Amino acid sequence: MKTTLYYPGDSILHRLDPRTKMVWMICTMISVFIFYNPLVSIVMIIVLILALLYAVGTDIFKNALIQFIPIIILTVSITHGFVNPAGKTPILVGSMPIHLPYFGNMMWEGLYIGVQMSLRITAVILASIILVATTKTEDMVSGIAKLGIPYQYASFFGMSLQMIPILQEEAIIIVQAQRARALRENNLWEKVMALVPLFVPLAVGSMQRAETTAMVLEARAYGAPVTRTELRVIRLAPLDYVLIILFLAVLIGLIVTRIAYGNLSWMDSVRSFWGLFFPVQLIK
Amino acid sequence: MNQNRSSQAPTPDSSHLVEVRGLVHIYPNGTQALTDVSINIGTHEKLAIIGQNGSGKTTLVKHFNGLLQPSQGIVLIRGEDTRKKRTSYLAETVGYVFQNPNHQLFCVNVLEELRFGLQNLRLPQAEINRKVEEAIEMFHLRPYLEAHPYSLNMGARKLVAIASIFAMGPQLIILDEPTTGQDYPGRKILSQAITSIYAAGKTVVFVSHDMVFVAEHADRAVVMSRAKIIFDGAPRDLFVRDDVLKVADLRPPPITQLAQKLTDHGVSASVLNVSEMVSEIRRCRL
Repeated sequence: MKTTLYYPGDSILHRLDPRTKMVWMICTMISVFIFYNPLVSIVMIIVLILALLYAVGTDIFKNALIQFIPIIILTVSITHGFVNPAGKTPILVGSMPIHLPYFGNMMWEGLYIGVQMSLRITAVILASIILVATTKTEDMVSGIAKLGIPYQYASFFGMSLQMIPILQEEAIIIVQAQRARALRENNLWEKVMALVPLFVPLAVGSMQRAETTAMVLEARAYGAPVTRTELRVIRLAPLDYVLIILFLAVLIGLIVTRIAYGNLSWMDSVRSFWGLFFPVQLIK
Repeated sequence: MNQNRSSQAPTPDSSHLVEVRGLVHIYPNGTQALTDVSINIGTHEKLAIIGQNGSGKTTLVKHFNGLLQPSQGIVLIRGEDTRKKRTSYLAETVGYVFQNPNHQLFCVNVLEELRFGLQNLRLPQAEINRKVEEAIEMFHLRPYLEAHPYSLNMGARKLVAIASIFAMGPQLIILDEPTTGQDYPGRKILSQAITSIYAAGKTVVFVSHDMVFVAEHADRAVVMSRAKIIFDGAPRDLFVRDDVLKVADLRPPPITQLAQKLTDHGVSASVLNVSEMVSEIRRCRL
């Protein structure tokens, strides 16, 4: 089983300075959120997926967070389709609306908002995965610290990242321990109830671990009032500068577009499935 | 589930509680943790599994209740193939106490903790009460029943974990590294627990590094090294086998080492405890 979020490798992405990847992540986040337009997110997502495939390979699809993305897209889209107050035009299958008691009909406008919202979330998730999957935790901590964030906060971040695989391993042991007590997981209700015996030991264990870690750090002079030196010094290479300038240029271009042309939404004219992703009706 | 069991054809070798044949286990990362391991365990035994870290002890015992599945070979519990049964079903026969009780305990008080496994087995209320009562008596837990498991000290917590497994009434109880992190009172309680479980007609299997504890409690010692069983016999015979001890990097209990130093004076080399030593000294008039 894979126990870390970092995928070791020696691609260009691995060799980039963590700050470059952070700029990339932040530029992606801003660009997808300033528009009301799924196409922007789709373009970003394609670029990010290609970058991930290049740096990590198909192994990245075994990542639990990535496997979670389709669920996010479906739940967010369907929920918005039914409940978003912007919904005006019911979706007709044949001539029947898709109706849920209490929630009413599924609407094109709501579905559009759900789709573009979940695609934004997907782009943000993928951008963060690029950063985490191709950067060693210690480099990330120095990177954050060099961005001017106090070292303490940077190392909180690093430690929480390192905690995830530890918790994963711990969770597996706890599940085994409860199965040894004949824990029942035959149907959905039993599976939900089975989360209690999993969660309590996991939560108590991680709180105890946090307390111990704090003491260990203090015993090793963490936070001593002296200037820290670094074991691995990270430096911006020429490629880093080129990419940072490129990312910022694209971002500025998009911001200018936003100011000049508005949020590029075609919400009111969506009448078909493909129309959710591409403004087919506007081109005709 | 119960009907399931009675309809099963009786296997020829049902005298063994656990029957392991040609077991190979390879972890997903490629580590071969067990290489062609075969072992039979009877219905009334006190068995210690000994070996260095990474020798495959825990991997082996995790096959007894289906927590791990064989990569090759077969594991039969009362003649039933573990590959075809769920862990929650095998838990009726094989109880597994994990090394760290914190992984097992989660209820609001000790009484609930003891009832948890029995409720999972869907036993009638009266039977649950009876079995819980039995476990309380055996492990002297009466004073703690209302206490929160996490408020108990490590020794008592471990005992609650053992009791919660014992209450389910399995014929085989596996204790993974029971003495790790135990102080002397904790060890004494553990000793009593093992003695009582055995006296109740059950089989105890414990994984341990602690040779004094093994000498005290095991009738049979199984030594593992590099994914294989390299010795299977009485602890008394183990401690005189220098070749096995060397390969597994084990040292006999101090009292046995002392006896081995005194063999020139006629003392038997297979002394296991202080009272045996005393009678040897008397016999040899040292």
